[in-house]
Amino acid sequence: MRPLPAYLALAGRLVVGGSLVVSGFTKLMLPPEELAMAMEAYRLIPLSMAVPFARALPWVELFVGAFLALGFMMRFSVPGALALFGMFLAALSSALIRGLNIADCGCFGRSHLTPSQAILMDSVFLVLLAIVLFDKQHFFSFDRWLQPSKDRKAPHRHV
Amino acid sequence: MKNRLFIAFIIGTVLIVTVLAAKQGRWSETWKVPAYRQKGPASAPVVITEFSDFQCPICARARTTLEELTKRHEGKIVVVFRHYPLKSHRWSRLAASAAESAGAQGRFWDYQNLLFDRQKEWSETQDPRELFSQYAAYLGLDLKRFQSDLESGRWDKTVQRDVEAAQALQVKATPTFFFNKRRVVGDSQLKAFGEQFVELESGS
Repeated sequence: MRPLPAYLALAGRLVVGGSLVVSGFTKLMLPPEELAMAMEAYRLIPLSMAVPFARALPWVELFVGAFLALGFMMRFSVPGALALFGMFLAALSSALIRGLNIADCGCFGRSHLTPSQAILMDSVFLVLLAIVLFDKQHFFSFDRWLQPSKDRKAPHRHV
Repeated sequence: MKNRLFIAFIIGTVLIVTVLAAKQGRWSETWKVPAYRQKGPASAPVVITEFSDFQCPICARARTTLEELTKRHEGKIVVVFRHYPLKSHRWSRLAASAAESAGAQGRFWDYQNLLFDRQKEWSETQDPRELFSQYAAYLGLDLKRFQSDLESGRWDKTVQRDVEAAQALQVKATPTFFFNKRRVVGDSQLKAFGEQFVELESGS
């Protein structure tokens, strides 16, 4: 019988990783200039950087999300997802603090989530990621599958 | 380690192929618009197609930016106006029809200038038809014809065709400009990249 946190970590991986995959994929289906326009509203990066950033970010989300959901290279995918959500939270909070009028957070391409709703969602994701980070079981993951069988029984480390 | 790299390669390939396949065929263009909505020499190397909404404040601002740009590059640019009335703007579609009615009398550009200049005035009224007629009278248009064109609904299809073209091109926000095929969204992007794109597209 596996302990509850192992199942929670699996659920967390699937939810957060799945969300990143959906978010990255949806953004990739849009022209990058649209995402760049949503980014402009935050007034955090210069316009000349917004379009290249809008081109790169969805790919990062897609890869980190897929690796996280599959439990693959979690040594990189978990900190990667933490960094992404940390960055999103910082941008959203700074927009709220500065009183910027942002109707659409730009999450998931065009989701029509307000910054406050997005902050709530990202915070829940961060909590789930914390559970994944401290989980030693890596239940149903590529990392566990790829481990030599003798190591699987012992509580293990991130690989 | 080799196993991991191989799996990473497989996952990466699957992701990239899926995205590229999903993106395939999402771009289509139908650039046929009435001649009165085109400004500049037809042989100009740079076609700037503008998807705009008369009730959108940023579109009003971007008009000035675009005018300055076309003045600086006279002869190199042809501007094509396309309607993209947003659902959130109550009178956008009617304003588009009014502009079309003026266009049918050869005054599309003058009328769009009036609509943008007086945007606040007409967009805040209960019913802007009266103001639209006043603008038409101010430009010396045949008022009866203007009003009958406006009320007939004959422009609904024309406007809808532009909306469909915008959707096919994945236009989500107004104003969106295409410098030939290079996309620019919003006034700040127009200011930042307009000059560079005209130079790139015209080869100067």
